[in-house]
Amino acid sequence: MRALYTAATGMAAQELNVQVISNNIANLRTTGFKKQRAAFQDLIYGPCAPGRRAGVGPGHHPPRRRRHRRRRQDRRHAAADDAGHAVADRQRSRYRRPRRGLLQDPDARRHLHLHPRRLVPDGCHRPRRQRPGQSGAADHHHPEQCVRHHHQRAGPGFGDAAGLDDADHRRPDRPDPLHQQGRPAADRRQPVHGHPGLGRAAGPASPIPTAMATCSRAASSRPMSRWFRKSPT
Amino acid sequence: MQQSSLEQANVEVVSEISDLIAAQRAYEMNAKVISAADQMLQSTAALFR
Repeated sequence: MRALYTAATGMAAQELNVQVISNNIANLRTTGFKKQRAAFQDLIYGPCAPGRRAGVGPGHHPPRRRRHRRRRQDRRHAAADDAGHAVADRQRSRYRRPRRGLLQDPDARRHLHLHPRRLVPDGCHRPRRQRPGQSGAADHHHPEQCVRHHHQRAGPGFGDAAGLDDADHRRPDRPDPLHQQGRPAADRRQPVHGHPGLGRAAGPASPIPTAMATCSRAASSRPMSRWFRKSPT
Repeated sequence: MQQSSLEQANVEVVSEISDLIAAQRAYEMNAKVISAADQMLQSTAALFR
């Protein structure tokens, strides 16, 4: 008889799962919607002593952990979760990482070489600890490519269609392969970020902010790291 | 928050469909368990006839 009960509870759980997934699909175009998941837990048959072990029941409360362990576990869950959490990295804690829901266009991510951790650098900080293979100059954020300095240079009209010039967001000594060549200057003043497919898909009112594309140029000039190759689209 | 950027939903269609298929298969498995238990009980009851 336990098999019947197991199968019945399993069917109820899978029905809930189907409902949750159909809700996800129904809210596919909803702005800011976060995907929901149904988490399954083991049912403990029969009564158990309250608070002895984790389980489902009236006397259940989660086991106490020390604070740093819980924090570490939360961070691991945030790293494993596919929804957009800000993951606090221990070594590069000065880089803010935006939510992953911002750039959902995979073509835009691929063509811009967007390193998800380098999208929004928080100022012109050099990383605290340099890796032994690097001189540190590659990690240093160039002031001409920095968002903050660009704000100071370009003023409040930064990011508009008329506000950008080539020398503002690009190092003059470094030729940019992504930059469009041979176009008239009136077209080049628009913040098209180099790839014609992106410009065609996004149009003049690009959803990709100019600050992100500006900072991604620093990331695109160096080889792709191992983290980027492992990252999902 | 990121200004002048478009925020979209965090749902990917393909993974959702695959999850849906997986949930459907699990549901079928549980239904199969119920039918198998029913057959076992029927055959057990047929022994006593």
